Amino acid sequence: MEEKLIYELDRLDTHQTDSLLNEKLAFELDRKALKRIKSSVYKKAGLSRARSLLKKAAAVVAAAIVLLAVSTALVGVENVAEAFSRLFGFIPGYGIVENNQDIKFIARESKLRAENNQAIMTVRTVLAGKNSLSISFEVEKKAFDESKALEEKKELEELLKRDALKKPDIRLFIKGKEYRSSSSSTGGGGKLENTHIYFEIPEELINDKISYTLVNNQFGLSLDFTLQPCASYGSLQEIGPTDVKNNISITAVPKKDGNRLEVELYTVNKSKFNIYSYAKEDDKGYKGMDISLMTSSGRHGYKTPEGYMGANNRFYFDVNPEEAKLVLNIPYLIVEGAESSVVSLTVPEEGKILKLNKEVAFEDSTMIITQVEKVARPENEYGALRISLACKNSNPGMVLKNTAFNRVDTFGITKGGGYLSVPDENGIIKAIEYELEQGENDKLRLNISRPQYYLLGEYNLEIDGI
Amino acid sequence: MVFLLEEKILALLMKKPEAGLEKLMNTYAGLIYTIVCNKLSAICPKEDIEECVSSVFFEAFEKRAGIDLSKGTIKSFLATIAKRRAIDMFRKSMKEHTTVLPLHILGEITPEGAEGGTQPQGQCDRLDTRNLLISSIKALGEPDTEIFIRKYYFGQSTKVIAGLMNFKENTIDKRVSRGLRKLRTIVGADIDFQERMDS
Repeated sequence: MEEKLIYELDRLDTHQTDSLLNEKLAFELDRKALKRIKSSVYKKAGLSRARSLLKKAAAVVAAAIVLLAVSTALVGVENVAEAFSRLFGFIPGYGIVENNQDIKFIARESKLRAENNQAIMTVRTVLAGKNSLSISFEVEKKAFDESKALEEKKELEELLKRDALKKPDIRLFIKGKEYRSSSSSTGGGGKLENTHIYFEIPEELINDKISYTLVNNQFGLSLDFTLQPCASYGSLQEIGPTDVKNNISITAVPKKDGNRLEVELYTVNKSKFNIYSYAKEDDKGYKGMDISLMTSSGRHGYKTPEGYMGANNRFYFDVNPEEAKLVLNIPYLIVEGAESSVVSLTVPEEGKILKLNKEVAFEDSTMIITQVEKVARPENEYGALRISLACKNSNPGMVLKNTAFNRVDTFGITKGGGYLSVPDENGIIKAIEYELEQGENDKLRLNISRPQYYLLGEYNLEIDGI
Repeated sequence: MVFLLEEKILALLMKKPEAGLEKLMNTYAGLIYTIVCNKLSAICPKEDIEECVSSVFFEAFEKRAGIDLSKGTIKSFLATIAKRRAIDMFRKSMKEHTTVLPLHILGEITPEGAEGGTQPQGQCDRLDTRNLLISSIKALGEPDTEIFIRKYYFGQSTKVIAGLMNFKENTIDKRVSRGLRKLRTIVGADIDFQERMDS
């Protein structure tokens, strides 16, 4: 009976596993083993550990980015057109959600801000579940010395490496009783510091009749807030100007502060792709195009929030009061697919070029490995393989931009591996130089995956009445 | 709020993959290590176990674009991969080694494709059997449900479970024995029938 039981439980699918596993079950792993495992995973994924830790901090900073993608995962309808007929919840700074029973309340106040001579604390989101409160806030340090930014960044990196970063001293007071966070994460290393913090609260203390006080002891700041049920909308247009292309809707939520216009973008994504970016990446856009704001006075470029790295969903524009007919133009999206294909490449003798024209077919495009050349590397005795690439697109609305390249070992296991990418003026990959390892003197097997595309079809969002 | 945590992990994986991977591992490494370790500890060194765990996370990372939280949690997605990869590695190791193994370990692993060869009707019956098994384990009630999940899903020993749940070892054994009798009454016939179908 026992063997049969184990046999059946070993073969549960994801849904069945969900039914079985208890949320409360916790499993420990010693820190050293965890570090070794992490190191191995980062290597396989072609990520460096130090970079990852820095990016972790940055990712916390980019709370809005994190939350933006949530909306794409939450709306479970077959297509965007159908989605329009449904009832949506919109949580500013968080995303568009549908029938989300996990989020009971959000903050009632639209501006939650506290300031003293040290810093300004601004709450971005408050999400209340059945018995928890999750709060994201930003602290701007007034006395921050920019010349010390690099030094502070290094200190942060060092603390992260040693897992010695102290938890922020944040408390929540409800009816005079103090609650400490059960988990938190902070990113910073500059003038801005972003924190995401989670409190476990008795269910009876989560409602729209109680006042909550958030206290940040590190900066001597506190603010009060109350809760309200998440607002519901009958259509995306009720939330903000919306345009739909390629089964992806984008809804703009604009805010004006003096001459500065801030536009936040929220999506309902029913395409087969994940949205990677709304704007150009690495300063290279398709045919030089990028997000812009068109007005009666012409076209405006944008700024991104401080603290963000790369893609984000918040864009700032300088607009004079007399300017009218504001239209946000998004010429394309950068999206990522989930396909992959393994190729085996012959490594020629050093200095020799081998013409290949090997095709790697994806559903909407083909990547052609035109030739390979082994090149010497002063820092790597095994050298590198320079792989020249060309992209062929089978869908006129999509332009293959890039893919991921991962080494596959003799056992068929995908590993990591460092490589340099060489893009053209449109940001489309035209070559990579893949660092070779011992034993790769005649063959290199690569898993070519996650094709990234420029998804054409411009969005024009009319921004009126701000 | 597990759903919210998973949303955040998934969103991070999509938009900031490095940060998402870090969060994913911090959250679930203990769970995945437990699954893999208990399946492989008898025949694989620690290094191979850790390699298998890292392969699970890497596979999940590679498949992140296909994760749909409306169909299941990341936790169960990872656990399912972990079970399969651990079984794969077990089979590979079995081919490479001639170690004499305890019968109960051999009994856990069946030849690859055993399920794949089953007819659709068989798959349906198997699905029903597993769902019945899950509901029966849940129906045992706490703490027996947790004991059964720890022992038969995660493969933890009586000693480990007793330590974790603050019970004496013989209490665990008694509860297991009693629970098995109940399960046999409810699902024993189904499992026996499925075994005949598979053989």
